[in-house]
Amino acid sequence: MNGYIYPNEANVVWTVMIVIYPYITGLVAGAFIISALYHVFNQKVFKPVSKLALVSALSLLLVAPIPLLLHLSQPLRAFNIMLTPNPSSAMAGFGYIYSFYLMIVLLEIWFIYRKNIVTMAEKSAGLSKIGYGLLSLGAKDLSPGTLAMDNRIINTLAVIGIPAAFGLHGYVGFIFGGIKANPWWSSPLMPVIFIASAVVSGTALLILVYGIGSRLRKREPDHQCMTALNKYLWIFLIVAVSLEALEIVNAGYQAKSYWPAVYGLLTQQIPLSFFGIQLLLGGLVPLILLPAARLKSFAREWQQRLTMIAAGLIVVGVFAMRWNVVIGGQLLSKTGMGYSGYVVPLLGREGLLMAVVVLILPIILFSVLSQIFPPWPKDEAAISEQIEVSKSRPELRSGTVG
Amino acid sequence: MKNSDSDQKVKLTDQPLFRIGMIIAIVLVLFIGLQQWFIPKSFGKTGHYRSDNIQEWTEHELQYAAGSDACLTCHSNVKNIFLSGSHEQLNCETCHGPAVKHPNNPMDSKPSIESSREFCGSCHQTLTGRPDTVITQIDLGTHMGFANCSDCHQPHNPGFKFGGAD
Amino acid sequence: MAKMVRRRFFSLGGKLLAGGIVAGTIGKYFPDTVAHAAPTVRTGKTEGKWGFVVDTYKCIGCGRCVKACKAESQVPVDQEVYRTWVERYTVDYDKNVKIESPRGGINGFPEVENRERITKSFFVPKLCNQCENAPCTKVCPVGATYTTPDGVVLVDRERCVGCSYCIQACPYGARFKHPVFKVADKCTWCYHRISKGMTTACVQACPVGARVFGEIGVPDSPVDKILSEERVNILKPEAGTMPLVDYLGLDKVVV
Ligand code: HEC
Ligand code: HEC
Ligand code: HEC
Ligand code: HEC
Repeated sequence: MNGYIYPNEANVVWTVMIVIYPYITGLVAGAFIISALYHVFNQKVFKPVSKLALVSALSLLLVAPIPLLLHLSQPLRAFNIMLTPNPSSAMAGFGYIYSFYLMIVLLEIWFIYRKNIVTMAEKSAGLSKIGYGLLSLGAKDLSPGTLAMDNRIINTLAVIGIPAAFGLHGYVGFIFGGIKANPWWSSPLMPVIFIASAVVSGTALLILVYGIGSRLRKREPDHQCMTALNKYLWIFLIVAVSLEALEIVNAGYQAKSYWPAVYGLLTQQIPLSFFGIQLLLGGLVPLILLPAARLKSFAREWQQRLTMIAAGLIVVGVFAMRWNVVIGGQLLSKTGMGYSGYVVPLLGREGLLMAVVVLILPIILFSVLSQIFPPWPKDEAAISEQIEVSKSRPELRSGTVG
Repeated sequence: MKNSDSDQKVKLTDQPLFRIGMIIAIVLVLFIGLQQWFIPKSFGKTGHYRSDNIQEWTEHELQYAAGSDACLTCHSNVKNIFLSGSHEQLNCETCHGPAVKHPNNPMDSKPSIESSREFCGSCHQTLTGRPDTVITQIDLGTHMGFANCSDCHQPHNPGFKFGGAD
Repeated sequence: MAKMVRRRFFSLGGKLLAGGIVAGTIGKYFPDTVAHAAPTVRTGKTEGKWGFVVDTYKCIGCGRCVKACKAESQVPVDQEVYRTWVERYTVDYDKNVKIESPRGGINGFPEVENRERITKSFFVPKLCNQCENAPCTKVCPVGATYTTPDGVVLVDRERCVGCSYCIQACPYGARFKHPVFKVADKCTWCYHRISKGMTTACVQACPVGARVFGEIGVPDSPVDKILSEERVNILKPEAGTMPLVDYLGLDKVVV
């Protein structure tokens, strides 16, 4: 703490959990956009990751409310937000927007995996037979007509999903952007920046999951798909970084009354995480690495490796961005004359340990979900040819898959 | 609902869309039911809040009495000197702390009495920012050594006892 | 039963319809965008509303109000949370401004180091402004904080979920998380006192009358007298919050 802060500002009220929440939902959006690119915009090259994107989106989405509940000091009343949502509150949308989004993802997964579920319900035995039977909801018809209908529904859902994803992120951004009391948050650009960085981080995460997951399964990731992801990520990143830069440049150029305070925040309080991690490591470096990774002079393997390094940097950079917004905004006192301090405690509901657990949860959830909904294409080596064959075989996971 | 010729055999109720639609409908109905059940009765009567809460706030427990008048009825010896002194504008509880329970139960709950030099100094000590047009200030360090203030000033009528302001 | 279900569905339909109408009535929730040309001016309707004036010329920085407030509203004394607090501003020869509020001023203030260099210094008591266009009630996701018909902003301790959004939204730092009840808390202008005809604990505790409280719009109200005769100012007028607490002698360095 230095300078003068209002006495009530001594405790930072939005802790690391509120950093994690928009981070996790951001990762969801990106994964979702890629799946939409495949289903809606017919980017067939994304076929190898289209299911992966959805399953990882679901595992993240299910975890997203946990940091919020950990943060609420009256978590048992959390349902109030669904009971009496205040129409003038940006945050009140959470319950409904989140539920809607979750519903879309669940429906999409259900329809995409229906064929799988039904076959499993018929072929497997014991518990998993019952489980898949229940999952199928008894709708066991796999006739071409019904499947075609399923496909139409999936496409519709993917179309609805895009505005839903933008809505979720726009609203998270607006939660911050609408707070006029805080000059570092209050900006109409905030929702846009949140959407952009969400898409960026989600795409980057998908690259990591796909890349690492393939390695773990001793498969080579589909190169065309990786390159396409790389290209899209690069474009998204250009948008995100320029918006973030624009925001700062604009504030600095206009130099309104609060600018010295914001300037002090960036240069003295969070210079490392803002300039070092968010802009340099998570922005400029990947901005160069990504196109570099597409250079023909690199071997395939190195192209993928570089892409994954860039993606890793971005995932870290976006976390820093969330941190800089959420924590940075609170370090900046409303007096404009000082800064408060925040250190993540090790233990406790909102401590470091809990934060790590929350961040690991989606990985655990993913490995569980991927047992039920196999996200990996059956044989990557044959993927590129499969793209032409629009009708794919039911991707059964028999006992020998591995 | 028949979209193509091939699914003629499939009954409407067996179609995936119908099944999942039913699930969604059930969840929605359950939710709306729960919502009606759990929203407090007085919510939304006068605005987007539970209007009973206003009443609850008015019933909040008091700590301070209504003012000096509440004290002077009994403490007539204080009253005799207090009202003519320069502390007259002060409230009894400003110096004696919260005492709303005391009048009903004078023997058991007694207000606090502070009489240290620092206590008087919290208002009278010279201090940067303290306007001397509003309050007479002395320097605790030099004003009459270390003797207790009430040796020479009666707190309820602080003009100097031996021929001062009073 | 079937009928019931149908009725529920109707109410869903009604809700969807209402959702459509929201677009039309949205202005209701953005009063600052529609109602007021000059956002710092109090709206015309004053009857039955309370007013609060802080006279910064008078405050002696003794901290009695902070103490009284904590006792009256049962806010833990040893925690860094305050419904009201006092700040001291000191400006020196080089026009350096120093602001301090050690423990909210509850135990008064220490003497400054080099007193002779100070050219201007004064105390400013702070409390909830009970804004007419309150940003805190606007952002509450569950409708747990609201403005009463007589203009006081309260928190419903039974509905608050503890998300802290209102704390973020208050430009004055007047809100905090109550350490005991684990809900948002703030100055209520001693709602339990004023509704019984008493004055607030801080006003009563102030030895010098630096705080004035009362109804506005009634003839012999002390607040009304000051508001109609003196030059008053409000904190952070640029925030457009329309505070009900007016200040006498507010300097430009006050934040
Ligand atoms: C119902 C009558 C009554 C009222 C009203 C009353 N008091 Fe008292 N007070 C008493 C009595 C009786 C005593 C006990 C005297 C004694 O101990 O000898 C007392 C004692 C005190 C003492 C001395 C305590 C001590 O430790 O010796 C103080 C200080 C005091 N009162 C302050 C107040 C204040 C402040 C108020 C107004 C809130 C007030 N009183 C209202 C009856 C009253
Ligand atoms: C400036 C602060 C101050 C104020 C205001 C004040 N008191 Fe006191 N009071 C004292 C102090 C100090 C003592 C202790 C006197 C002593 O030690 O001799 C005291 C003692 C008392 C006592 C017990 C001893 C005695 O002198 O009778 C009573 C009763 C009392 N006060 C009542 C009141 C009441 C009633 C009021 C309001 C009208 C009041 N006081 C206002 C400071 C104050
Ligand atoms: C809560 C603040 C407060 C406390 C505590 C307080 N006083 Fe006072 N005192 C005042 C105010 C206000 C006045 C009237 C304004 C003035 O100074 O002329 C005053 C006036 C006086 C005066 C008269 C000055 C004059 O020129 O007429 C004396 C003497 C005095 N106080 C002594 C004391 C003593 C002794 C104590 C401790 C028992 C004490 N005060 C505690 C606020 C306080
Ligand atoms: C030995 C007796 C004595 C003691 C003890 C004493 N005073 Fe005084 N005080 C006086 C006398 C005599 C005067 C009036 C003469 C003067 O103006 O200097 C006075 C005047 C004052 C005045 C008014 C000053 C002015 O300029 O009008 C205040 C205020 C005051 N005293 C406060 C206190 C406080 C507070 C204490 C306790 C820290 C205290 N006194 C202790 C004797 C005393």
